[in-house]
Amino acid sequence: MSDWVDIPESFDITEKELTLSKAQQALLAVNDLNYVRYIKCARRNDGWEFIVFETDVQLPQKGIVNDIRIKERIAVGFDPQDEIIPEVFALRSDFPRYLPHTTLKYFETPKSLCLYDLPYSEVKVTYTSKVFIERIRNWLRSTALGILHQDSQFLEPFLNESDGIIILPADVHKKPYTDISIAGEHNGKPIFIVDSGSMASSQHVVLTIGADKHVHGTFNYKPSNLALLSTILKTIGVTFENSLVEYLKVLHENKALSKKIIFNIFIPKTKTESDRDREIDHYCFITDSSAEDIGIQIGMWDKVDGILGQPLGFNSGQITNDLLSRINIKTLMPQYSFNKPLARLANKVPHKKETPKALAIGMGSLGSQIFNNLVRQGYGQWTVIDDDVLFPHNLARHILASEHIGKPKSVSVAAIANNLFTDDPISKGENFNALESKEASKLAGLIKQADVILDFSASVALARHLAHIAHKQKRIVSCFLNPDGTDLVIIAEDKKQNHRIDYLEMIYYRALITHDDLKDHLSRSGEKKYYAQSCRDITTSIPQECFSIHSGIAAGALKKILETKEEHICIWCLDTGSYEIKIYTPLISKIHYQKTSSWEIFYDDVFLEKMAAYREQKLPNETGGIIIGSYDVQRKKIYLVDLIGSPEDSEEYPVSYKRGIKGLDQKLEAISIQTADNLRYVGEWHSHPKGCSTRPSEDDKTNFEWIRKILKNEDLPPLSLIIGDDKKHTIYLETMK
Amino acid sequence: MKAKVTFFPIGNADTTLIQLDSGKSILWDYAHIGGEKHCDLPAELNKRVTKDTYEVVCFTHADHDHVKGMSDYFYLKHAVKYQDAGRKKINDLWVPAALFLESRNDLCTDATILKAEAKYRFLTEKKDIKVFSKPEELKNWIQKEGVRFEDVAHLIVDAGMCVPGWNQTVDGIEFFVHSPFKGHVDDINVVDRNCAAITVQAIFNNKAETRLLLGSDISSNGWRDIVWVTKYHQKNVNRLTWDILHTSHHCSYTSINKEEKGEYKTSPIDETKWLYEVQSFERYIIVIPSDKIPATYNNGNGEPVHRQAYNYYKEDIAAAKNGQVEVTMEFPNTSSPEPLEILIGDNGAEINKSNPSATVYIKREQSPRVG
Repeated sequence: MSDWVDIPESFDITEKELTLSKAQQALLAVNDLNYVRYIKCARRNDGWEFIVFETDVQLPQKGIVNDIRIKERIAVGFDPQDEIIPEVFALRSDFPRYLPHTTLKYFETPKSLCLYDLPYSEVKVTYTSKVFIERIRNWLRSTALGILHQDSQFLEPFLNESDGIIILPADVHKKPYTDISIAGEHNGKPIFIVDSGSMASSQHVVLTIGADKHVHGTFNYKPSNLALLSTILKTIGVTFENSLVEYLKVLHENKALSKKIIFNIFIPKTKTESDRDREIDHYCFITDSSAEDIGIQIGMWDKVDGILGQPLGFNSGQITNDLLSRINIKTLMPQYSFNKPLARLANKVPHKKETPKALAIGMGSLGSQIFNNLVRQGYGQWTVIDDDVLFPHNLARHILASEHIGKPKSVSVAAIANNLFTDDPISKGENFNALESKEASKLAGLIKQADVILDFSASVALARHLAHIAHKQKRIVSCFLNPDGTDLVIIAEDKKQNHRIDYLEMIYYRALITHDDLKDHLSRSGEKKYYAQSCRDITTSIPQECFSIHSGIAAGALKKILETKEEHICIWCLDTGSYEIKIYTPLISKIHYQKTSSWEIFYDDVFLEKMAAYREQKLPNETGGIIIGSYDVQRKKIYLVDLIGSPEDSEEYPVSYKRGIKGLDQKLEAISIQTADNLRYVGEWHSHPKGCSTRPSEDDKTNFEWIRKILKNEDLPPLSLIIGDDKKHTIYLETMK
Repeated sequence: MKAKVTFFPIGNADTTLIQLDSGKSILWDYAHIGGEKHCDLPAELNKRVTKDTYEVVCFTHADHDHVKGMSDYFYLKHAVKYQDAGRKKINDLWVPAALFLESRNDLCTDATILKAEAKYRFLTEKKDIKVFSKPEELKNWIQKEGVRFEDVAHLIVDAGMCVPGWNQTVDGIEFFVHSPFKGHVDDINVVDRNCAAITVQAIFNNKAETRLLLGSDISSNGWRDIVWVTKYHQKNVNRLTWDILHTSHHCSYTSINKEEKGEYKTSPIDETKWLYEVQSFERYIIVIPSDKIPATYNNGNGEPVHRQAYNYYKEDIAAAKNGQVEVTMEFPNTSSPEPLEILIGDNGAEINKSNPSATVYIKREQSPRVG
């Protein structure tokens, strides 16, 4: 038979003497629930009221790893103020000691069960006595079976109460502590902050003690003096007195007895005896006494007429608990200064993962917010370029604050990011315009050092410039919002840069004219916007939530995209009524490239297949239409992107074709609006019949001269494409021979 | 593989439901007594078995506390009047041979109907039934009824073997038949019906190989014979081991020691002592299907429940191996008994002792009708 213990400092009371409503409710629950039998009530000297009961624990025959019995005696105690969560004690005197989620409130017995990992204020919202008691019963069953502590949870701490928090430098192991000051308070307990620096100026010395590995389990009660600390440490293989005496001798020799000792204890813990993976608990204990005082208190030396005696022949065996108990200590939970490993841990970025050296161009609202999202994760090593300074209106959506007004955005955002961490800087700001030719060599140098170029500039000019100068050097990823700020676009080259950013941009435009849902992407109002292609316009009015939502998506998507080798185009469309987000990923196909003496021509399989399909439909007749595309006149590039099929009023015969005009006007107007003039008419196409070559006929040549005439008005070259069998095609540019 | 065994608070009567992970349901006796504080047995069963068929229904013997109300609950093949909608069908009916051979005239109505149903399946349809034990007298009776023994021999199951068609690995459970064996049935005029009852050990296909000993109403003499026979055929001694014991005859002293009730506690005969005390596994469960245990030691008419027997189970057996003893009419309390569920999994057997939350209830019970 087992022995039972009582709640210390308590006395039995009758059921009628209960005064606390939660205790009364618990009594009703105990009397009403199955498998629970009332034993008695008690009151502690501090006013807490307890209900003691026996409960059946549902246990199987096998698989029991902790000594929980079929019947257990439990006491549930209630705080008179109902501010502290009801305490649950297992009253069996031989209830196991080292169980996860138990606390030693009164040292050895009774053990207190830890039922919730939420603050009581949260628990109260759904607390009922019956649910609480059933939770105790579940705790007992799960603990018996060893399934209470989930593998995903951190191991139990050795102590779970403290007198305060101490914030240590992340490199605490390398440098001595110099001074401790109180930085503030949290829940009424002080927060100490430690500076590290030179030993000479230090007011403190640190005695670091490592404990044996122990299997995690019961939380220990925080020690309030060195005797209690010594008792606790003995349970994990540390003879504290030995360490103290040896250290005091060293301090004596080094004439450092005026300093105060910080006891720095590291306690490795594992889930099971045989477990190799371990976590380490770290606690700091501080005293108000100097080392000299401690020596005097424990009888190691004495001070007579200002002269300190020698610790001759003194050994730790002479120190009694009584002597040690005279030295009060404070238990402090250490927290470490923020650094990149912590940032990664908090953001689920694997600790050892290689993250890219990123060259980010454009630290506007979107760029700065994406940057902010990623650096706070310890992700990447950054160089950020922007030539702009912060103006007051930028504060609406930028991560910078008013103290940065008038200062370069790039330098300021980098400084903020670096200030987050106590370890090496994560970013560098470069204040220049990436498009300016005088900065070309600087930009080239930075591109060389980077793994990836992140273009947050929302500038078509810059995207084209980068496509030109960084081609076959570094992968480019563009990231921007549409003018209304409702849609986010990410366009990413493949790692080998076979899919160039400039042509991928064309595929994005094609999606806008071929996908009904995207037709208002660049023009929600359905009207043409001549000067605003992006949110860069300072007059743009876009709510910050759009930037916040999209910069969050962009940060996550960028991390994923940079994991892959492939090219990507993604468009996220936010419905600002319902906040539903839809994603579109236009089809990317093989890109073709042709070069004439003066121009480069780009097109893809999607374009060709569409043309071949139109031809197939009309065989044996010829057919044709116009080609939709874009020019980069500066770099002499023509992009063939889409086409308009034969208008209704065209004349289609087996050996000739004459393009009509019906409906063309509306179609071209729609393309112009939907792509904000990024796509336009670039030439004509027509098909040849089966078995015929794609060489031009005399009629074709005449037609070509007509094209030349009309494009000459804009100083653009004539272009005609003839398609034959099996997608065979010839593009005629400037000349048709 | 998981399984669930449920015992019902129906007084001094037996009904045990075995449900397998595969969805198969096996019912061991059916007795809807309808006494005070008894559960509504058909309703409780239908809550648990929602399909229209039991794979097996076994009537261990034809006493009313094992068959009462069966003709209202089951779909019976032999007469149209037992075939209205809502009745549960029986895929395979298991009965002891004594059902056909008993010469006593005290069969209750349900037992008579059960006998008619069994006879119809056995001799007319020659399928969907198993008859336990193979006595000479059964052979004579079959022939007297004008049926060739060979035509029905495949429906007869011997003691000392596993019931055909049920394999521990494939079906998740197997049944080893301990009784009735020849002696019990042939001496029908002198041996009581309880000894001719079906007694089996069921073994589940979980990692712990949980063993359920279903004692029906067998007396200590019956157990003695079984123990003798089993020990004689040494290879089957483990067929008398158990994790869950359905005690026989509703906490009667006769199933411990037929000759001697005892003052405070019944002392077992050698064979029952061995069976109860040696053959059990650690943390076993004893289920006593009976009325609540009386406070007194003399209940007058000699019928169970006997407190002496309970004291033996509780003090001498349960205390030794961390076992648990539960009485169906006292579970979880005497004021409102509920079905007792034993959950069987890889860690062996455990009694479901959770106080169900509202969400568990609403999944388990239909809400009452609203207007």
